[in-house]
Amino acid sequence: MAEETKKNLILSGNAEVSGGAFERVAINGNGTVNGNVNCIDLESNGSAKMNGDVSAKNVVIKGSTKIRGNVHAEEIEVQGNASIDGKLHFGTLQMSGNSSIKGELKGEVIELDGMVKIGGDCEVDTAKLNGAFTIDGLLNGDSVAINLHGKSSVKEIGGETITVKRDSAPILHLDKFIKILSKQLSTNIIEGDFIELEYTMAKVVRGNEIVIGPGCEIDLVEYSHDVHISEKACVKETKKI
Amino acid sequence: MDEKLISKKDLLEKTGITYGQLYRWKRKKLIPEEWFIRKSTYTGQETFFPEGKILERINKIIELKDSISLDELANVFSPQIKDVNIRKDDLMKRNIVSLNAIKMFEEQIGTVENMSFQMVLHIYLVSKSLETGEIGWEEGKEIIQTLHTYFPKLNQKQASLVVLRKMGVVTVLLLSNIEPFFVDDKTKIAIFFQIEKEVEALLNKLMMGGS
Repeated sequence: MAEETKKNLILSGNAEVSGGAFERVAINGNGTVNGNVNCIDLESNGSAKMNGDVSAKNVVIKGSTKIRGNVHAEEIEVQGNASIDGKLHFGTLQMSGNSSIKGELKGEVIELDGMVKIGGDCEVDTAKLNGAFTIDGLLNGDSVAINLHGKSSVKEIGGETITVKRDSAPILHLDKFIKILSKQLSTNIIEGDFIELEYTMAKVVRGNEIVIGPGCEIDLVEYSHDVHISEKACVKETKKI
Repeated sequence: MDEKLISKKDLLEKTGITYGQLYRWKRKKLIPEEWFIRKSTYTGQETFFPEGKILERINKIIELKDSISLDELANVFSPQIKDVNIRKDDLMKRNIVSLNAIKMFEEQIGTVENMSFQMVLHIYLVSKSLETGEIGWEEGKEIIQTLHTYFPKLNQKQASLVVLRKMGVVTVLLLSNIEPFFVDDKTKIAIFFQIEKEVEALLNKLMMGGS
């Protein structure tokens, strides 16, 4: 195929166009894009609807964007309410606001400052989750750092270093819309080499070095090297393996 | 197939790897999703693995992980078409497949100097089939045609190549799972290859002697 200079796609107002390959895509109003989009930069400010897969270098979502498809990008930044029907593959993903993704998340780094719902697994090298989240699948990462600001749940967590903390100083802009009272994490299984937990309810926690902090309710802790259990935690059974 | 299973806990103990490593390798697709088998136990859900396969895989990862990156390793293990090109001369020189098999492939598909991994795999499978002495020249051609036409449709699923013979008539099958199958008494299973295993064997041969 011959080299061709790609055009920009700028949508303002109530427009409906079809997808394609572009240099830059900006959607400002109630734009709808039908079909797959392939571009360098994608920015969506309004209430955009994209019916197709998105593949881009940089993606910035500021409005309430709906994507009916998968998103593949090196850098993704979500500040509004994104709702994505498919999978999300990325190098880095920064999310603030309140988003929902039906498929899996896969990438290197995810940073959350807000709320998110994930329907599939979330597999990253580094996860910094600040806020409240629901993950229906496995949260898998070399380093998983959770800072609880609301009721959160995840099916399973696995990785190398896993920490769950409850931040006593509320982030004002977050706590406005998250219930402050129930800042806790519930999960079935946590498995990791180094685990440090607070305010976590789990059936099983397995690991090498484990610290169980205040507010935890855990049925079974299995450790191979070291364990510390806070007086303010409730652990039914502890086993060395 | 009734395979022996090993629990995650026993696996870590036996191999000396950590949770971090296991989860990282899962993430990088070094260990296939299908090997994580969930079962209910008295402590709730537990994960088990097919013992033979997982031990072999983990030993391989441990052996190779210091010399090549995890992403490259994932490529090695993925049943997906590998990202390598092999020169025809090379393939002939290194005696990985028989010259007859290459000739047969070229007759059917055309002459190629730079072969994709998938092509080499097909030649390798035919070459091995011919070596068994169970099939002849014509049947070999049928295998090539079957692989050429239907292999891409498998979409990285685990598959087996089966050749059946009944009263001199040959049927070539490409099965997309490794469940056992049964044939009537008069039918003979001439060839049965699990493609995933052959992929690994071929990769070993290609990597050995370094190119």
